[in-house]
Amino acid sequence: MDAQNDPGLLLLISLAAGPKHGHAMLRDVQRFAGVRLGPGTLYGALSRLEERGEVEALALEGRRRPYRLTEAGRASLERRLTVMRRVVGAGVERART
Amino acid sequence: MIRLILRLYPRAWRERYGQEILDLMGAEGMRPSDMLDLARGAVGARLESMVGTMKGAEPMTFQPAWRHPTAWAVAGLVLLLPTALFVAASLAAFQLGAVALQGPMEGIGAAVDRWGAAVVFLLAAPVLAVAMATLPLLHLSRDPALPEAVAVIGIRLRRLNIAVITAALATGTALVWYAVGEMLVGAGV
Repeated sequence: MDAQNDPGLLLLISLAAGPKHGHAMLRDVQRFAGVRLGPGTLYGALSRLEERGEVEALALEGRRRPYRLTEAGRASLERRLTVMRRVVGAGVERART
Repeated sequence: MIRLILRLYPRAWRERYGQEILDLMGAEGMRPSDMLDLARGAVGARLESMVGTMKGAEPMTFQPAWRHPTAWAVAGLVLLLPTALFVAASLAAFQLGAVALQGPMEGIGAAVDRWGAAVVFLLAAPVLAVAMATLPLLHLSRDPALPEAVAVIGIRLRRLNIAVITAALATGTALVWYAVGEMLVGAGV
């Protein structure tokens, strides 16, 4: 549930804003989540997302390969965020009582 | 160093993402924590590769160990040698009564006790040697004749590797036996 411990979710959120290569994803995640993903974590998560068809690689741009979110990836992201929103809502509400 | 750690990943994974990681680390700079992260990622990638094999993907071997079994066995043997010599000399000196070895071994034992890293090395070497000699022998695949996902572990037999495994197991066993004996003596049992 903790997005900071879910590098796959962080990458989906990053790619939802548009295609990016590994270095740009790393910087973007660092900016919006305050987490610096290690190279093994970043590419481990990316490989799993690619295998599940949630992310796809684009043609090389020089030496860098950008990735983009697929429709399946966008649907998966929305599903997971919906669950998170519901849990966060319940948590906030209960914390007030 | 990064290239060396990348060698721990399955070949297909390394060929797909290796260059990107090298470029990323070239741009970002490599931190010590990145090395640990990469090594941990390699373990994960290996496990996923094994699961893939069990689901019917390509058979898996531990590269580059599979390609160079002799080199890995020799490397394991070199790693094992200090521990094996230490254990053999200690047993000869204190169990078999080789008086000429007792003085030098007491000095070496005291030096090892003072330097914690030496103890870790002596204990870890047999385990690492077993792993280095064993991995080149393993071939993981799935038998399509079986209805369930069952991994079939094939073991090829290489004399040198088996000799190193045997030596490492014997050294490790003697080391544990020796250490337990010392502890019991120290505890007054």
